[in-house]
Amino acid sequence: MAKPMREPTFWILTALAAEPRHGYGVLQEVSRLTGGQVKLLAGTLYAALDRLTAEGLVEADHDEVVDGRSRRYYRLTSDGATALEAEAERLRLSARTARQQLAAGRPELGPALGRTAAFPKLGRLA
Amino acid sequence: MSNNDSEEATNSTAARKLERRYRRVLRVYPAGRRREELLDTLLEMAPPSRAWPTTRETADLVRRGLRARLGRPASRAVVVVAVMVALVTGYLAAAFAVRGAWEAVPDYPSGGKLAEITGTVFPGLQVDGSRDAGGLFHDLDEPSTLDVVRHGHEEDFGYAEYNFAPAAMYIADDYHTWMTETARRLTEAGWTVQDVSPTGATVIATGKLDESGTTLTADRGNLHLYVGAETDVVGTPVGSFYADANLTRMPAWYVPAAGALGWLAGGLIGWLLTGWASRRTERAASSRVRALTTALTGVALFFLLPLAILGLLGFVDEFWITRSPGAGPFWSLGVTWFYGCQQLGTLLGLVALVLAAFARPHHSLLPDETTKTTSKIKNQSPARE
Repeated sequence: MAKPMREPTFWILTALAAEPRHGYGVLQEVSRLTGGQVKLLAGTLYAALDRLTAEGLVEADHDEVVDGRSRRYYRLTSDGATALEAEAERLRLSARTARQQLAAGRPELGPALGRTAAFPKLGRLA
Repeated sequence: MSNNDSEEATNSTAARKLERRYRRVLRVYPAGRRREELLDTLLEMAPPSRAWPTTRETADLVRRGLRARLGRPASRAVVVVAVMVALVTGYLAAAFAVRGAWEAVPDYPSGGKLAEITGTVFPGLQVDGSRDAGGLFHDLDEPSTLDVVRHGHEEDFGYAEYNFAPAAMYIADDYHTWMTETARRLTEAGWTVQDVSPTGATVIATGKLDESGTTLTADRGNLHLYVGAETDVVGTPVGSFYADANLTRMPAWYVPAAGALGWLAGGLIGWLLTGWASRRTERAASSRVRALTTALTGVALFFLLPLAILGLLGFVDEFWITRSPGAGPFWSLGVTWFYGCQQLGTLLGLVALVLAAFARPHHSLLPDETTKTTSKIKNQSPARE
């Protein structure tokens, strides 16, 4: 069984799931997807991109030069998409288990706990 | 010039300054395109009011940049190896730095200044004294430089001392009374008496001390003084005691400071060397070169790491805990009992570095050729997306 992903890794892969992005684009997308709750630093982002590239989950897509500065776009590989899918499923199952346990302990809140609207963040993670 | 033009010029100057400051921090990363990529991202992220990189940002860049220098981004082992190599190179650099700094410490007193000290300890007595070595250290075997290179030093290697005692060896007095008077004379002469302790054999049955003498230690300036008075030395006449004393030099403040800088600078050099070797061999065409470099580094660390760890503990002990020069320099194990380990470990480490220097990168694994990329040039000012 694969190890659970660290949160920055999960969000970086998620940010790259729809389309290739460059560093700043990934940071913006992560911030947008998490409602500003996850704000990565540039050093952390590139360390993660290096690691994910070495693990074959991410790869360079193309380069651009803007105002003389290099800008590389990264995309998810098929292994990266598989890993993200597996992690999303793991989180979904974890969230479902947590909801079931909460409902078992507090039956009067059972139906409400099942609705993602009551736990927007949990719903998005799952 | 309109107000708008002036404001634009000010903003542009501020932006250039911020870019320069980011570039300075980004030197912590290995040279290459990553610096430019990061610069682009950092400048995009920076609000217009930012003049300096934030502390959090800088700390993150330094940490990640030092890690990036090691290459092999998915490996944790390379970080562990880098820490161990940094400890070893820090230890070696600190040893050289401390040795060098001792050259600036004032030498033992001589002539009238020395006579003042020996006269204060043994007033009215003819005193014989000598240094146990001419230089900073003494070695009972007095080996030649070639002998030292071949075999290291003998086990009692340590800092040289100045030993002195009454020419008659014995003093006809009660040693308690004499030592009390000696402490008073030394205090009057500006010495700080640190300790006066009884000495003698311990009775095994009771654990009590069978007192037969006393010792005194005192400090003045960069000198440490030991005085001993003992009655159970063979041949001591009844009513007399055997007396001796020695002086040792204490390190000036800059000796441990040079050592601490040596640990830091040497550690950084070791980290960077590990990174350089790791990145070269990571892309080496030959897997045998990679395996051999790794194996040599492992064996070198096996020999050197224990010395470095003991050296670090000894360094702290020598300058901040016991502060006693009597135990010898913190690196003495590496030139006495473990001389062979130190030499062999250093040699193997150097061979590993030479191998890394000759490792030829695999053409298809050069950094910018790992993936197929397309480039396009955009001549536009960076806009927030």
